[in-house]
Amino acid sequence: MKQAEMKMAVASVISGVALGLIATLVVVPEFAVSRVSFVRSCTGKDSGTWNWGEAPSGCDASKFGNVSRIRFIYGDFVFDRTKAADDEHRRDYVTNIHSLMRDLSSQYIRARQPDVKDDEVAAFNLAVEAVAHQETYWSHYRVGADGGYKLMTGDKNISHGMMQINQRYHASKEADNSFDLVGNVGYGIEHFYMKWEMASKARCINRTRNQTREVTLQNITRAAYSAYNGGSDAICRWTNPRHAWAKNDKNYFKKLKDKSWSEWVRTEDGKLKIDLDCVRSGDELCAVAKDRMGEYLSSRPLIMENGMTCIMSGAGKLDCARDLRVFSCMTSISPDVADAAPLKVKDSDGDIAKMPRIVHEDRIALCKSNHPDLALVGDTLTMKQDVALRADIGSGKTLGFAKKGQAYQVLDMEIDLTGKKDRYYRVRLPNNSEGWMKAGDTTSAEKFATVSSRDFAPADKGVSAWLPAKGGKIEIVKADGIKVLAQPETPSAPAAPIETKGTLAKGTVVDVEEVKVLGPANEIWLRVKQGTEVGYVFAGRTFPQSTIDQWVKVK
Amino acid sequence: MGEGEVKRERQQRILTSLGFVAVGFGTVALLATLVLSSRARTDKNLTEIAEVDQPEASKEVPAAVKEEAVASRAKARVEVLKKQITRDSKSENSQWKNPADQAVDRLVAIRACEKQSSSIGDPVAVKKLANCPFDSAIAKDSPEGYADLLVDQTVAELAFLKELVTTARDEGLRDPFSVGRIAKVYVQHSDDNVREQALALAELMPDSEGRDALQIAVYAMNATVSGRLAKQALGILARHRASEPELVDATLTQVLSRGGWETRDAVASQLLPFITPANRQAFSRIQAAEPLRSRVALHLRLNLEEFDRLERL
Repeated sequence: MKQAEMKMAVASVISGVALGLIATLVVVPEFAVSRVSFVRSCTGKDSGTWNWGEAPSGCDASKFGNVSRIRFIYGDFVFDRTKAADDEHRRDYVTNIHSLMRDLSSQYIRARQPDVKDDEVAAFNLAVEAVAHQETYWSHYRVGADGGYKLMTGDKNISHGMMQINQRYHASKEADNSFDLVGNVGYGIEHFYMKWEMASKARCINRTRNQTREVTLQNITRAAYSAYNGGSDAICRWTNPRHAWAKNDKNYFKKLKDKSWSEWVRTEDGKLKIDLDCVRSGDELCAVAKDRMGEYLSSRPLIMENGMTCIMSGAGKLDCARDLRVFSCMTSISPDVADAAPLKVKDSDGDIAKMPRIVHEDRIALCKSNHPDLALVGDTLTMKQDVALRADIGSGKTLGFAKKGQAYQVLDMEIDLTGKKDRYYRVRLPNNSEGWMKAGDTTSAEKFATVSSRDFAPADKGVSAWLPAKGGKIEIVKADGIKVLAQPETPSAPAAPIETKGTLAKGTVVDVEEVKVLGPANEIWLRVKQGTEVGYVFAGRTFPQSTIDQWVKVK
Repeated sequence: MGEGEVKRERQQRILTSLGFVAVGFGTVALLATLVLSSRARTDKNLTEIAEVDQPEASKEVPAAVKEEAVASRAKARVEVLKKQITRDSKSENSQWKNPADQAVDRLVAIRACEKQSSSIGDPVAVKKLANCPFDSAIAKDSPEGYADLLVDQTVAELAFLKELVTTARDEGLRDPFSVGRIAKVYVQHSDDNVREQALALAELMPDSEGRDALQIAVYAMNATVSGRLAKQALGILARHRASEPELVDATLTQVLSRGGWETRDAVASQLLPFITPANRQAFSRIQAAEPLRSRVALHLRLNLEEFDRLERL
């Protein structure tokens, strides 16, 4: 169904329920984490001024991350430079950013320190807001003078976003959250908190006899900033007015005392316009602006109350997946889904919640039908160029290289749902290092590797096979043997009773007649034959780590 | 004052100067052993450090590229030594000990400079800072430049020490320095890049020192908010879990409940080797308290399901 038709088809449903929906949580699986490593160039530069929300400089946001995320999730957190003369717009912006920093910093310190006192929470909030003031005048996303979305960059474009996360030190080494507003502020808060903890034990905190707690907290704030800005050992820098960087401490303290943002904050306790729980927990569910709800719903995945993700596939039907890893293979059902952030739907949300659902469980089959050129578990990739193998998807330590001309068996695959649908494959090198490679996107995948669809046929000569194959043999290695079942367990109900046909003892070697890969963990089930008996044995999974070696040995 | 007293006093001074901001398990005793085992020359001019490693903070390269460069440079330094040693007397352990001692000396000197970070510009500290790179272009270029420069140098020295001990072992020689002692001290550094090197040393500790290696990994788990470092620590915890299973369980539940965002996810995704019938319920409770669709909840659920299958099938 064409997009326009689908919008029409669901329009009536949407209009009836849009107001009833809880316009809160959207899921963006892995979207918030930018796969873009170390972008230094600045295109579409927007100079800005030293004022709230528009500090120098902004660069085209599309170079750093998914712009639709700004539009739908962070719409209330964008400073529009074309409205810079409108004080009311600036007030709205500063008020929303204040709510975000207040809630995020409070949640963080309370989670790390459950018995923290309220005055320390307040001091921590204030400290974080002053850091963001010092770094960027609370600038992150903006609409530039040219009307395009921009991201705040500084330090010759090395540092990104409100908390000025330094790409030289963080990009490529760990997942880069600097594009995402909550990710960026959260990263800054997390690292500032480490200094905060350290500061409370620093020698320069208690400076006078009978010092009040208020002064102590203020000293901790100043020390934490010194350490945040100059390294942990500079924690007492704020007490040294002759220090080469004393001006930073002085400026920070002035901002802390003045709280000049408060002139722009409409209300101190205003409700935050996104739900932080999802983002904070890694679920990345965020709020969508209510005024964009209709537009949003027509092309969004919907998060049902039982955790399923569904897509309106027209004709009053929902296609659903229980897990994000399964869902990522559904994206071609609706092209817009790839760039969209879903919306949470409560069971009480009327018509949408009651629509009939088709629940997809078979990740491999779904991926195969929706992304025909994607290599699946068990397929072979023959490299057309050397590609680094990293410990995590798009980040982490480099473990080695998949070499040009060499072939590797795919142990797991992921599709990044952002615009170009980057492909990631987990493979194992001959030295047993196992990691993730990025092998291009929709348009460039064929430049990286040739995919050979195997459907679990025995591996070609020269390819190390780590997974069981049809027609091959396996040896049972689990110490107490493995039960033979009449059928594979269902991933969504793993403990549901299934007839047991016997047990294969450790050391038993059997023929494999069929290989099935089920569920989000790539659970491997083998139909095996021993004598005349046929049944299914579990042979491990490949996500989040491979456990095959604990179950069987591929012969 | 006799020569012995002078030496002791000097060692005490170094010991004091080495202290990290976050003091953990038995730091003082450990530092004492470390320093006493080195030749303890704080007056060594830091130009030697600069010769060994060019300041990297000035180079605008991504961290991942930089870390590979650190490893290959350490390897190259040891290769040079190896050639000299082969030429002289390969079989003598002392041939490896000297470079190790010198590296420890340099670490002592670097640490002394780090300790002066707050004192730059203070006339009283001028003497202490005389051999520190506070006046370098990098230190002047950005507020964190001085700290970053010293971190880079520390990382380089620790990588060199790791390469040194690996090579000595390959040659069938005794370790030229106490791996565990260095790891214990440097896991308490506040920078994750340094802690990463400390854990890399802890990974080299034999099973007979498993309890110490475990303590190092536990310290790192509790101190960091880096998922990457947490995963490195988890490898050590898994290897030596048997020596103190209660401590490991307590650490993991603590991190899952109150850890940083990335560390929680790291633990959840790598939990399978740590799940036992005795602790399964505790992890299950943590999973139940997580938002339904969070990554932590997914990883916990998949690992608990796999544990159950291992029990059931």
